[in-house]
Amino acid sequence: MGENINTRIKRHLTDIMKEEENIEAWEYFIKLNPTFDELKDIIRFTPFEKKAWEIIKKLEPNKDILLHLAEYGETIIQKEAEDLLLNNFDVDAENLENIVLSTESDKAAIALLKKNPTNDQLLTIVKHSNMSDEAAKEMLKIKQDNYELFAIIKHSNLKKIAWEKLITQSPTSEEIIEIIQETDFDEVAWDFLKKQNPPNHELSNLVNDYGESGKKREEAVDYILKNNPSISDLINPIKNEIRIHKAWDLMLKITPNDEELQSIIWRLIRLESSMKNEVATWCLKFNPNKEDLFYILEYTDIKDEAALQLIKKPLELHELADIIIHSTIEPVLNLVSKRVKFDRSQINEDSIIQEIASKILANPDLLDVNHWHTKNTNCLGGWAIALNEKAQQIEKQYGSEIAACLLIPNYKHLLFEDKEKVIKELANFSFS
Amino acid sequence: MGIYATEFYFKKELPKVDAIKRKFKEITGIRLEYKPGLELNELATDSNDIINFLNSPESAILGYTLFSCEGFSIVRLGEYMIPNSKSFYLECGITIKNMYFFHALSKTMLELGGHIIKPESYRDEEDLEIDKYLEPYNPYERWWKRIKKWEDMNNVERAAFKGKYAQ
Repeated sequence: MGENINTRIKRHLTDIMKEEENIEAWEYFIKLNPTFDELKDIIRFTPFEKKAWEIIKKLEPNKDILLHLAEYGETIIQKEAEDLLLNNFDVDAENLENIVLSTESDKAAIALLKKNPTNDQLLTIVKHSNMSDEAAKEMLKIKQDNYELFAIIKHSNLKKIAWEKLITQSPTSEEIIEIIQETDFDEVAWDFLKKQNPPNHELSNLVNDYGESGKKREEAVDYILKNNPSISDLINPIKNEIRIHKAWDLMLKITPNDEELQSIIWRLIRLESSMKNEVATWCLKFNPNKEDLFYILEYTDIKDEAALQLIKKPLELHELADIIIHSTIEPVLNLVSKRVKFDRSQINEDSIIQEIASKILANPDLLDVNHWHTKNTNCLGGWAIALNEKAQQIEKQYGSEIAACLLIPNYKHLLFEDKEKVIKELANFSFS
Repeated sequence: MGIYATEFYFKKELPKVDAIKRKFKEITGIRLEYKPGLELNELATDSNDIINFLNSPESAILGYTLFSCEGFSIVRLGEYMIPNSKSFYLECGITIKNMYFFHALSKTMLELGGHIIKPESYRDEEDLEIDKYLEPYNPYERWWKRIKKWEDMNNVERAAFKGKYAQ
């Protein structure tokens, strides 16, 4: 048969109240004698939570209803529900723990402490309430693993005792670094870590500091720099700009293998560190592969040097386009014009620009920098092509970028610029 | 398999499917198809019907919402969009052979007033300083300008959209 009609109506009214503060819907809803479960939904999902709570209280809610609201209700209702629950019912340890977890209630934590809590439940109290010292004291009566000792160090005042136990349990560098970054026990922990003589790579989390604690980063880099660092040890200080020049000076003394070279190019060039140009100049000495050369071409100012190395490698035509829009030095122009069979000797770049400048400065609406060609307008490169028949053939076969760069190589920097810059430079050309 | 994804944000409302299709055709010259992933067992007339359906015990999302275009691999919406959401992901498989469709659809969203959210930025949906997470859109930049009508592009220009990890 399905639900009765009133239940379905109440559900639709609830849906309306979820969408808007519709007082009519509320008044109709309460006339239909809503159940506890239906009132719970109002509290959780609608703006009528306070009204629904007042009704629940009058109906003398049972333990389960109060448990649910103590965990999930709105803050003010949560507190009242919790008080009613703990004052009137005996709540088991598991449910008390859930309340502590979801609301960080000290009252629930105190009640849980009286219930002979398990070690996991004590840990919850340590991490999620102000009763952490009481819970930690109980935990420290038995052996705890490093994760639990970390929690006690982080959240309670029994740090010293927990620390003394931790260092007898062979903590890893990673665990010590967590203590440095996430607790106020960082000085003691750092001194301990140094004395363990960790290998450099184990300090990378301190240098990178993804959690942004700001702690012991310079100290970690100083340690690394004095400890015979490899190329990969030096990348992090440079990337994070800590003792950057010292690290760079050390890197210059090492010859990277292929894998190290790729790592340097990816992390310091592709991910754009502040030293990318110096790094690129240095990397070019070591014959990087094609992919890495394209990163140098695209992401640094060392374009011509990268292009010179690239044109010695086998290249597809679209890769030539990628090169020529970044670098139009003679060897590149010669290679591309040979590949597409274009005679550049007949081209007078200044005349082309002069002609375009005259057109555009007389009527700037003819310039559309966002499209190569439209019905009545072109971009700068598009105009250059439109004025040269041979270039139009090149464009048809090899694309607009190659055609335009062969015609106006010294203006390639304007092919992907905003309109204002292009017009300004055309004006400067025109009046010079 | 990995995915390639871009997140878009609209400051006001999300664009209508018809508007997306029109703008896409204007940019590429190609027809765009759209398939919603939520199939209702009744006629849906407004967003309330969809909300009710999602909240009912019978609801089931039957598949991803997809954009498709003849000759290209599909692009999907990353998650079923929550009503009143202002952001969504466009996704495609990382081994896709040709990225033209994905990038053209991205350009379509930008032309309709959307913004790309900077990758790896963590923010609240309700963050009032949303501008700091948005990438600027400059249609004259090479990345966007190279997206011409598909039929107007020669093989060299089309080759630039070859998927990096295509198998």
